[in-house]
Amino acid sequence: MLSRVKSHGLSGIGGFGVQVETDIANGLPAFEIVGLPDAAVRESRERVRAAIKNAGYIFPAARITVNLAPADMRKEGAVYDLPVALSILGASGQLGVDPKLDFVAFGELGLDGSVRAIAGVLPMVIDAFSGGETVFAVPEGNAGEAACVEGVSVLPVDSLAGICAHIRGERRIVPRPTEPWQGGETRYATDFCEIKGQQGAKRAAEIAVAGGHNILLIGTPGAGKTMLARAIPSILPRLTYEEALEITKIHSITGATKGTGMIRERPFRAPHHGASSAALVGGGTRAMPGEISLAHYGVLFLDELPEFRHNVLEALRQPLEDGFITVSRAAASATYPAEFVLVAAMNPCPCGNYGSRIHECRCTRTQIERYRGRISGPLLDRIDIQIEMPEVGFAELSEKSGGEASAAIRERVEKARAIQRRRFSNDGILLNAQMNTKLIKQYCSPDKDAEKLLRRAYAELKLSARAYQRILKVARTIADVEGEEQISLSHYAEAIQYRSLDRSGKDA
Amino acid sequence: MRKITDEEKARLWLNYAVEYNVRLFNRIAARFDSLACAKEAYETGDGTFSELSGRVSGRLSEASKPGFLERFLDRLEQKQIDFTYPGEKNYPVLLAQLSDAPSVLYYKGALEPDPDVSIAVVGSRHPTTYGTDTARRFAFSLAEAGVLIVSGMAEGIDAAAARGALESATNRCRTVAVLGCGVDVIYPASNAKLYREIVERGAVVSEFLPGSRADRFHFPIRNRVMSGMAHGTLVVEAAQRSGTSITAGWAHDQGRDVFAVPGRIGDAMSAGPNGMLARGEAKAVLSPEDVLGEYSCLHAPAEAYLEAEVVSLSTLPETQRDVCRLLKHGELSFDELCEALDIPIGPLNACLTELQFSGIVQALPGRLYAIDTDRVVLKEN
Repeated sequence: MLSRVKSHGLSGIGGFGVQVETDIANGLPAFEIVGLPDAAVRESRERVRAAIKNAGYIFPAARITVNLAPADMRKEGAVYDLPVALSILGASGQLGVDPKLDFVAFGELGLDGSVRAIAGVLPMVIDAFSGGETVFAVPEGNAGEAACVEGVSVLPVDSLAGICAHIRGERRIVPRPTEPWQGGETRYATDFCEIKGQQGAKRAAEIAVAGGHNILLIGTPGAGKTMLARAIPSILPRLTYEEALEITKIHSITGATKGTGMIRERPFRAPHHGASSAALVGGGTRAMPGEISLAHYGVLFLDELPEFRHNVLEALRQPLEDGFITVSRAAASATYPAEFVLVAAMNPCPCGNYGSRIHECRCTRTQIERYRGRISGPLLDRIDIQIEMPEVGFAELSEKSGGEASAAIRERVEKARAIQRRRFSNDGILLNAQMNTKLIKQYCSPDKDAEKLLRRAYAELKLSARAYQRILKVARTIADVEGEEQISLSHYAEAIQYRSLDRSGKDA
Repeated sequence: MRKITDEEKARLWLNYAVEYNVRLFNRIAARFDSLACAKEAYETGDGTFSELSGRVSGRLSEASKPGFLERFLDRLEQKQIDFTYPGEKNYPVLLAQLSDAPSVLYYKGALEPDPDVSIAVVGSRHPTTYGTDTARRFAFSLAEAGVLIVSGMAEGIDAAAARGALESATNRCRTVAVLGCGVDVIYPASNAKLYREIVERGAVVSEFLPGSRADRFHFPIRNRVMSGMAHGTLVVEAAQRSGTSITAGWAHDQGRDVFAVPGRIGDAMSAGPNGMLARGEAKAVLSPEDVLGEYSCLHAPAEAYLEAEVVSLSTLPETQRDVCRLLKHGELSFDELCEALDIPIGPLNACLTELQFSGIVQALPGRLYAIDTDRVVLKEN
């Protein structure tokens, strides 16, 4: 007798439909799984055997062949335990005559017949849903994320016995109602109003977020670089449903969403500076997403930027430009989105006290130059805003109020982004930071006075040639934040202040 | 290259063996009528040399090998290194007065043996911006007035002083850098450009053999030459206990003047000079003229470092005027300006850029801003 159960497989953040077919024939008892299973799938034989027995059913003593079709795609993980078990039970007639197996099933089985949560449910549900499937039997722990797709019917499965009873019509499982989208999170752990002082840096962060510019914070230890970076997700525009879905998809692949539902916060990822390039951009034999994809639509914070290994930083260059990353390995290849605001932080010198009025810097000029030289020019080129954060004195810490709350700043950011969307509606981009040379010429050509100012910036501050276009872009964003059509002289003048590293050659 | 006499050869021979140990050199020299005699005596196996330590006698036998001195002289010529010794015409007169004057002084460049006034500028290797500015300004003004500036070519105050002296347009000025390594060794390497400029317009000198590395213990020995070459030693910025205090101590022992530029109390880098002033070990100087006043042989007035432009505050736009008024009392960070001024951050940024461009304000590391006092003098009306 033959039986079929639908399931799904994952490659990257996309997927493919899988048919689990079982044939039970007479002969010596045997249990084979074919169809490019990996080690975890092959091991499922033992789990399935025990789970069927402990759920109160009989594991047929016959020649059992399970095929995972299509046979040319590699099947990974413990996703297929549940469909395999159902398929065997169906084939052996234990689910009744002509059982209704019209759903897509995934799930890992425990030896006692319980069903455990797995990684990657959301992308599989989305993919199968777009392929026309509407009913899904998923582990109870994954029901939350599966239910955030509007239009699907999710059957939360707690055990093999439970789903069998459902199929036989003895005890129906109540479908989990889909969760209506309630909008992105508005409250974050760190709010801008908690940051004391640092008005200049806060303003720079607001401009960076408004125009999608990457930002480098330079300051002595304790100036509040990390705190500021942590607060940046709170001033990013509220997540839309599509954005949240995409974020949840990526996080689901790594299994981070087990037991939770849709991600409603902008992600904040802060990999340690010892991270390998595979950890950052993605890798492994299964081409898993890296930190930059996990930071998609959020903030990637690289503290101690010069301490990162050279090849790791260089690997960032291409995704910073393209907004996605293709991870290719011998066994797998996947493309993940990676649109994030890069927030980097560094000390002004190896000891950290250069420019401090309280502590003495013990570094020589050569040491400072070598330290700063570790960040390559091409990477620095992709960071539009560099801002020095002065140390915060005791008086500031104790007395001052924090200033504006994130909500007020976010409102301005959203307005500025709306202006940009309108402006670029025919240009295929969304943010000022993405402008190429042609668009810069079109949207921010400085008038005569501004031209004069920029020329003086070259001479007086010894700005580099590549700083020029950065200043134009940032000036455009400043004007957008202020809600002005024309970039005025003072916008350019302010933008010039955001080129700390270009300037530092002067005080040697 | 000039003709080398046998006596000079013997001097180099003995100097090579005893290195910077001047006392040993003098003790040996005193036993013989001349150094040539000493060399002859060594070659005939005189007993005087048998009591020397292993290292010195080893170097003596090395230096006595046939052809060694010739090769040594060739190397000096190749590297354009000259040498002088007490009694020779190029030997600094002031230095010759010391009981432990270097027996041989190697140099590159041109020495001015008897300047009207020479001042050693010493200080920390990690100065504040105030320190480097002051050292540079003093060195420039003094050099303009004809003073020979002696420095140690270390990073920080030393380098700033040498740069200030080199900025002086008058060619009669020469600056001298006294090194703690061989004259052909550039230490620290970051001063390579400065080294070349000093060799071109002044001289680098050292009592250490060419090729010697900059060992730690060299510097206190070197410091006595710095103060010994100068009529007075000017301390700009230094920590409480530092190499600078050693130099000032040498200057005292040698009967020379010590000057100190006062700094803010409480600043680590002002503790050195302020301490000297408090203990009466140094004369306080507030301007280059105060130094020149001590030496009546010089009448040329010290010229201002650079013609500072007088900017009247009333001509500036209101925001810029407010910023300048605040900065007049000292450097402030961006945050402090923000707090004190109560204007939005955008316009404040723009205003600072404009002030920087007009040369009134300079940006310092750590997002600090200060009035560029070298370039402008602010007036209320």
